[in-house]
Amino acid sequence: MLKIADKEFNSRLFTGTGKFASSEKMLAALKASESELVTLAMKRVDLKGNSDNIYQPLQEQGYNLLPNTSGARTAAEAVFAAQLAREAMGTNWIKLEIHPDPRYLMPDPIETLLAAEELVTQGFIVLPYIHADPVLAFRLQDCGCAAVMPLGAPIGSNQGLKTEEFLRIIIEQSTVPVVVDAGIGAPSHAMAAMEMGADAVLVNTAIATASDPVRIAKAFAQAVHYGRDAYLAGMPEESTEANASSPLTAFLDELPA
Amino acid sequence: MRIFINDESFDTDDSTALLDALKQIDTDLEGSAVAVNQQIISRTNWQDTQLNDGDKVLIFRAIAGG
Repeated sequence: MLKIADKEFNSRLFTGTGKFASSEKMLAALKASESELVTLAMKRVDLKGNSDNIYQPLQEQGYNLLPNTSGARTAAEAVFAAQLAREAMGTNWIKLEIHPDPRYLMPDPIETLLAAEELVTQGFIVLPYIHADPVLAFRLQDCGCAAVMPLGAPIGSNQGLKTEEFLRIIIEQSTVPVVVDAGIGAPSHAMAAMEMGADAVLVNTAIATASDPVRIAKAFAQAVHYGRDAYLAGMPEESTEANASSPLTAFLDELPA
Repeated sequence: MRIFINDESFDTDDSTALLDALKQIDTDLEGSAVAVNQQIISRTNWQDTQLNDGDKVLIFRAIAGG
């Protein structure tokens, strides 16, 4: 069972709630995913607009909520966003994400570390979204983050594990859970992350924007489950040379010359 | 006096409590957080927080996100 801070999770698939066509479709897909931790964002209310209250149904269904600091461009903004989220949702869990560049949404490592140090001091359970940088992951773990969330590829890009070799180093060195976040566009990507030994994955776009979100949510749940199983089974190492699986030599030796 | 809620101006009585000002807004405050002049005011203090002329109230809400 996966444990992050004081919470235990049966499912190693975390899900985002963005980009779904409707709240109903989102709730149905989350249910199918068997996810127990879902992300939310905070936004200034538009007094003229009419937006769905997404918080209440998620709360009622018993999901653990992981608010994010999306929109923050600096550590100070992220800390403020985290405090707002704690007030609004009654949780001290926070997905710390600071990405000032709207084109690639690359997380700012310096502001993220500064914000993480402050939020940990303020009693938050901090899960920082970072580039797949093993040194940064180590520094964040060292300052008290409950997990690290390195990216596979840019947010919403569906490109898969472009950072694979660096994820491998983070997974090898980390003493806190590693949640591969961002870029996972297919169940096979999620499975690959789990086979590598990731503790969990976070998927949003790939589920929300699929033609059939419920069906793909189930596929993701299975991929994560089987990927974890394969990891636990102890997968053999790759080799550049062939390694015969059948004892052919003895048979060949018996042929007449 | 005049206060601002999410950049919209509202004329209110002097000595208006934050909670009363929020009641003027037709919005669901479940899953929301409120700040006055960039200072977050926890829900339990909405009743006891008196607003002053020119105060900027911001309401934030949980929305879908990844």
